[in-house]
Amino acid sequence: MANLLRLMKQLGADAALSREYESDPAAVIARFQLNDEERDAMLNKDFAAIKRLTGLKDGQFATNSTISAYDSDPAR
Amino acid sequence: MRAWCKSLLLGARCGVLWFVATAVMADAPNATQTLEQRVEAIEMINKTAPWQESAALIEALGPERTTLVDPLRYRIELVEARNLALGGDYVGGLAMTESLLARKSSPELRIRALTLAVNMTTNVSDYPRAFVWMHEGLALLDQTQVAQPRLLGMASYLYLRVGEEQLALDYAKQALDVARTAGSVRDQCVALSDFAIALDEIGRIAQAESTSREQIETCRRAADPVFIADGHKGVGKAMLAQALYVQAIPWLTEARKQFEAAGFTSGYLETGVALAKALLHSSGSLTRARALIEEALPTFDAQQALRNIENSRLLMSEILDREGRSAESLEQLRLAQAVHARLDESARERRLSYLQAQFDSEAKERRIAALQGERELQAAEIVARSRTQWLQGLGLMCLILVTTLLVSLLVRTISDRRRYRELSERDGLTGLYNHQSTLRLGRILQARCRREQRPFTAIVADIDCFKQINDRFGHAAGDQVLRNLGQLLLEVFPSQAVVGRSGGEEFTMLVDASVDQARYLIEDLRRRSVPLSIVDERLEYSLSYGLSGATDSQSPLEEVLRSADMALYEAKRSGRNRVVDAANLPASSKAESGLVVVGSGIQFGRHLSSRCLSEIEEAERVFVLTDGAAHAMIAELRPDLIDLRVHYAPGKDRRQTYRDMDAAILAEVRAGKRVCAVFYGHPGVFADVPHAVIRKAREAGFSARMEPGISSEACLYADLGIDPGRSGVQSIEATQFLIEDRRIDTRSLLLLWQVALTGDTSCTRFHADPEELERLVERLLLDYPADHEVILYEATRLPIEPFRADRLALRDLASAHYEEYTTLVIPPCAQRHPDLAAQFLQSLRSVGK
Repeated sequence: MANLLRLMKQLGADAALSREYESDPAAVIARFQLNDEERDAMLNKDFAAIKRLTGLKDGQFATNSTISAYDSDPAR
Repeated sequence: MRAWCKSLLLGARCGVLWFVATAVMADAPNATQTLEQRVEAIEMINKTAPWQESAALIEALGPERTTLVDPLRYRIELVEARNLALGGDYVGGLAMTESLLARKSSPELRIRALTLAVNMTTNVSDYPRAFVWMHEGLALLDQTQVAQPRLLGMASYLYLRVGEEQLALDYAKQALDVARTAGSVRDQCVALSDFAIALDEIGRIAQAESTSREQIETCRRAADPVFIADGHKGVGKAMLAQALYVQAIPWLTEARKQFEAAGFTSGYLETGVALAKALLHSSGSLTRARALIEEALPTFDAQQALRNIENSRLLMSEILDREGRSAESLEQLRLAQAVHARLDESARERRLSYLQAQFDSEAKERRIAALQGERELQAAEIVARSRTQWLQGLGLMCLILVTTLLVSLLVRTISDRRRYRELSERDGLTGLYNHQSTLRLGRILQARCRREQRPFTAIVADIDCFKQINDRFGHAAGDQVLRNLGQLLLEVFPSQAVVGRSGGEEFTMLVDASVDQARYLIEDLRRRSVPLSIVDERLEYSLSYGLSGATDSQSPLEEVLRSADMALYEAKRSGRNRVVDAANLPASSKAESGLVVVGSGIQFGRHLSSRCLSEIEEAERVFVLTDGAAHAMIAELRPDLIDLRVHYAPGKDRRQTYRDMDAAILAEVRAGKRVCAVFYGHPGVFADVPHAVIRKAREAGFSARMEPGISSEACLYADLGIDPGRSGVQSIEATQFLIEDRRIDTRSLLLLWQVALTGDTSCTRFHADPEELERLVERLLLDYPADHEVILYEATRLPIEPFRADRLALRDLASAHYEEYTTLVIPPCAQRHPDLAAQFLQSLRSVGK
């Protein structure tokens, strides 16, 4: 998981790497030493699997700090 | 005749008729016979000839007699005992029989001895011993295959004498059955006689008569004249009992003649009395009848045959009465009554003897049963004890085994726990103590220093620009730096010191030393620190140090560490690669504590600003509320991060969750920490907690600010190519839009956030509700045409995944798929349907309230 996360982080941050990935994803994947499951998910663009493997499936974050309360706030 | 044969029953016969001599003589033994054959011949003659003849044959054995051994010797001595009795020496006969019973023998011979003993004791009226031996003999019958009808016949006889008629009949029947099955013809003859007597006694006269007739025929075949005569007498007596007096006379006459011929006086006289009775009741000669009685009475008196005497006197009384001799008749009647009294007395004695024997037998059986039960109980106890011992042994073995296993497991568990505890206390990369262990052990060390009045100093160190090391040389190189540094720290600091990795590239050292001594240790560490060689490059790194001595002996460890942290921050701020003593900090630096809220962006690696990253790295405490991927990435930078997701719980009101988050963050702020709270996306957009904690921290006098992040809305404009500046934007949460009945400017772009949670006023739902979506569509149809194209948008969270921008007609919204973070984008539209608006708004008001 750590290598996959590192790859995701780098793909988001590094424009050159992102371009390289678009043209030759296998080569990039090989450098980041992903395991078989992670590699297959990436090559097959199995986004559901990738989200699961990176922890992105873990929900309740988008609404974590959102907010609107339509009646009185019990803690306020 | 046989003087000892005095116990006559009902005048019927002598009880020991079986050993009365007959005229039948066995052949004399010859020289060619074996000793066993000669013994057999003696036994046969003893049964069928006068006892003197068998005694003579025993005498004739001469010197061979002394060579006899059991069982031949036993058999000869049985004959001798019988002969003593036949000769009138009951004492000698019984003594010899008892001596035989004291010796071991086969069951057959013992039964014969017991039968003889019963016979003799009966004849001397020693009923108690008779019953004892009879019971013993009967008990032995199961142990022999040889027919023993005589003992059964004796039993029948004894039971008749004590009034147990049914038992007597049963034994007589058994004796007859045994004799018929396995006995000799003579055995059958004798058994028929016993059976006929028993039948007569219980009143079954006709059957008694027929049995006596059969007896006559059988005894003829056995050539036994006495029992032939006895059969005739039996038939005659049966006829008397049936009042067939005339018919009885020839049978009794014949019996009397045969007894006389055989020389059996008792039988002869008894039959004479019976004949007298027949004559009396058949109008026969009274004189003849009286003569028959007068002939018998002297012998009966001599024998003390009471029953015969009573019968005789009663008959005599009747005869005298017939002859008109009343006085004499009365005298005979009185004599008969006197004899009757003696008979009753004798009968009672016999009955008592029987009952005593029966009682003794039953008591003995009970004792035997009790002993048997006791023995079985003892055996059961032995088995139980043995089983108990076995089980105890097994239990002991199991206990030892289990104890051994438990001890082994305990030792292993202790060892494992020690190992796991060590592992749990250690940082996996450097082998140093982790943050929690550092604090725990530090408190112990500080307490010891306090007790011993020794100085205590906290050192907090941080590798300068560690992110750059990772970025430039890779994480493997960064890890190597951490490992090397960990090893170096262990070498420099004394063993008593607590050396730990607090997280990321930060280290904490707690030493029982003064600040100056600690500074010396740091200088030693800096001197020994050498650059690493990574491929062809030289990796140099430096550390910044914060020092804090425990000036106040009562200062808690947290306060000492906070001071060291501040000193470290000052070291960083003033140019890194230096050591700062908290004691030298300006008072203003303490104001550095406080809160900064940063946004992680939608994609952490892509959207996180450098400043936000720096805030995360430099903060003393980091709180995180992001998606799992961002969380994991931040955890690489700050393993000590605090996860705010733990405040969620199924069904828990999100508003309460938010307040719990506020409290957790503010507690660290109030503790004087530099706190960084990381939130998903932009921390100030659609966010309750970030704004709340900043407000509350400021209210408490702490500095608090927000660093922006890339929001989903920012991504939306980029991804969809929409410029909000062109049409203007209405951006609102979907539920709020409905509840507050917001008016729509259809010329503007409308963004409805969290469409999936439309209508959820409980703040607990995380999924789409089709009915609420239908309501939303109805509301929108008031302002937009049904075929108006809308967009369901989701910013991508993966750098390789396309964003979602599903375009569909407004009317189809309810059946679409939604994530909790899906945003509804409604492009501008000039049309409006005022005619429908009033009606819908009316219904919405009633529901929304």
